[in-house]
Amino acid sequence: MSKLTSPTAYERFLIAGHIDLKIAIRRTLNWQPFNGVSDVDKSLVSTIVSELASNIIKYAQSGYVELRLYEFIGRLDVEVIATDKGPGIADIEQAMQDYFSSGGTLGLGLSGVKRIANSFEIQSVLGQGTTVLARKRINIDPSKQVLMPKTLSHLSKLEPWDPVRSSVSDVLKSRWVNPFEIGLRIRPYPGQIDSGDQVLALPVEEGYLLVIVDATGHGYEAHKVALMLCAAVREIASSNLPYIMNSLYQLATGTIGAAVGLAFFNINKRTVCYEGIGNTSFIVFRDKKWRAVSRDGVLGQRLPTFSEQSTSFNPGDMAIMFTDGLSESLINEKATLFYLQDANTIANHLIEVYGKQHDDASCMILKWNR
Amino acid sequence: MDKEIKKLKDKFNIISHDIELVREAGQLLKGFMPAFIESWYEWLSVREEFSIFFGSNIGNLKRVQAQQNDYWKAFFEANINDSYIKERRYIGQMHARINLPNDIYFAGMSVALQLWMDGLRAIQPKPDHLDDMARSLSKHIFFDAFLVIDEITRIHNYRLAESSKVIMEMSTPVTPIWEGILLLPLLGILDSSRTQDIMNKTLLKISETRSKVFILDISGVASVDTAVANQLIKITKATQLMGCEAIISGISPAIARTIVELGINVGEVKTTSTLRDAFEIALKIINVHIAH
Amino acid sequence: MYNVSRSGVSMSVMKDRLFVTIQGDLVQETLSVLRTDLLERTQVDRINAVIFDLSAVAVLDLTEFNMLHQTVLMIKLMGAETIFIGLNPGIVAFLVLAGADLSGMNTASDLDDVDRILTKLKNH
Repeated sequence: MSKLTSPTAYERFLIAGHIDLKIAIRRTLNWQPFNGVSDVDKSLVSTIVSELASNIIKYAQSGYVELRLYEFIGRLDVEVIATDKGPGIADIEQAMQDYFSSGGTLGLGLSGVKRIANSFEIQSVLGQGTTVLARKRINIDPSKQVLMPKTLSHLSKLEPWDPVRSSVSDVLKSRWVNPFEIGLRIRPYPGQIDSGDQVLALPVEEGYLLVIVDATGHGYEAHKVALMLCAAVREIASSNLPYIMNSLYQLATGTIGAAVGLAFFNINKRTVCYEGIGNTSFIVFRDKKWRAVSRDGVLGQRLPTFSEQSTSFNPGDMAIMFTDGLSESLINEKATLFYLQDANTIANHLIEVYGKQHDDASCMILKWNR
Repeated sequence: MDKEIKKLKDKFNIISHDIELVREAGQLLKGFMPAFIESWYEWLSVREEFSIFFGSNIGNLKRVQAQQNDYWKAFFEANINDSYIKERRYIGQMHARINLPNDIYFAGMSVALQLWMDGLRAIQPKPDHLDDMARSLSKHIFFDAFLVIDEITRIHNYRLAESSKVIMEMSTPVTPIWEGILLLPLLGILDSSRTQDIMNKTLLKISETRSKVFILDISGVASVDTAVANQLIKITKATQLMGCEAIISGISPAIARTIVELGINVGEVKTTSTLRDAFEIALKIINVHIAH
Repeated sequence: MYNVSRSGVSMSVMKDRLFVTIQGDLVQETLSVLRTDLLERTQVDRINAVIFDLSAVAVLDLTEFNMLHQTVLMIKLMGAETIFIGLNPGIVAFLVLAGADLSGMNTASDLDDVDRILTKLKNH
């Protein structure tokens, strides 16, 4: 699995018209993470934004331009990523030729961007859209650099940027073109190292299997049980929730037991279905909120009859799965306040703010960005 | 080297009695090793770092587990000599190479210590000097952890120094030597990254000082080939676009020969062999007459 | 002498010189209309020099520059010189590094410098 270092800073612009274009350029020029960067370098990045955003308007009506910044000591690596759902480029080779040699038709200006950028890639599918990725390395005097807090705390985790490994397809796997976000956070009983809660998201068949386990009690014993159940799910991961639940039940017999929630998100069918036992909750936030019902009981001690519950899940929707370490009424009330954040931030925030102090707390967020 | 090792052991208060006790503990814990490795990896498997570093690569995981086995064997043999220290430093190098975060390393060592202690306590009948053994184990764990972290720190500092060094080589002093005249004495290499840096500083200086002439002295440039010439041309094009005329000085006979032989066309840019000539031309451009 | 202002561009004529100040909203239509306007005035008003002031333009990408550049070449063919003032370091660096066609581009550092440049051009 390729390791994608997460950006130190991130910005995204919706481009649907000329005003958006001007705003994007201005905001790039004045982007806070560019503090300490020379005017010329700021200008170069902004010009890339200008060129790529103009193309979006010209050929696709609307799309997005994202800025991602990776901070290191002595340099900043900036990625400008432009995505649209326009008609696509039929002949990329030809499009990249210089203005004059393309026969006077308005060239895409991409050849200029390609020369300026340290690396440059285009992916385009006719009828589906285009993604352009341009990377610019900016050198900065370390003595003048004010490192961002995220960099300082992760300094030992940063990898030297290797342009060969991180490619457009890696980028496409992330937020914009693959718009599903899964965020999760596990927080043990305050003061303990081991959590009796575990959360898992596994890609299977046509979507994702989401699992939450809350072993009875807390501490090392509960932790071991939760781990054991998760390891088992990994082996039998599929969209067959009843089968998984049954298998887990068998495994849990004789142990302290657990509460378990299983959900399967079918990307193609745009549905999500759920089965749960004990104090696990699953709520889908959208126009009409939908709350799944977990059966009473403890895994391993009393197997109730399950009926799979399912509902639709569409772009714009958000689902949260959580244990009783989070107050359900508060989640119900407050979760949508964080809707515009990314899934991990939401997960972290919910735990920090609404996690109970006398229990393990964990949650998982599934978000489909429009 | 032996003196150094002794000094280090002294610092960590490790005496021969500690070594004996660690060896004794090692004997008692021999049978516990497989369980230890399993439990330790259970702990690691739920850390996010686990999936980052191992993913689904089972072969990799097995290899690392085997290395762990060897590591702890050596730990309990407690022959703190040159090769013992070297091996720990090597681990540090590995960790630095993959940028393993410090927190996961320390937490891992801490968990390992807990597991060994649990293992000792679980032994029936109860071993003599259990407390002393635990104490000695701790000392050795700290010692090992120090060796690894020290190496990681050393490598990080080295990387930091390297990147600063590169920046310093790239420092570009563009100085006004007269009202309206800028000078840049270029030293070392001239590649595309340096060119951008030069453009950054020079263009800004030109607009700040409203200079009319920019002298680029290349007598300190290692060698001039087609690539370097292209960079020079880019720089002069840029200054010209800012309304500032460029003069390249420091063209030695060797460079002059190379440029012509390579067929490089410097275009309209004025060139001179000495800085003084360039300066005279610059003064003429800004209309200052020098009385000889 | 007269002044004209339209979206993003203002023009004024002094004797045989046409000053064009671009405000910063270089939309393709504007550039296109500007070109038509400029070429016409160059002929009608017997203009010998067109001075473009881009000091209010923060960012200029290759597509926009190419449109301007073509206009420059057309003006040149009609016998008038063009001079640019106010190109900021960012724009300059971009144009050079992006490999823009800079043929026929003349620049002055500011308005006072324009005379000097024009004289130089005449003497070539």
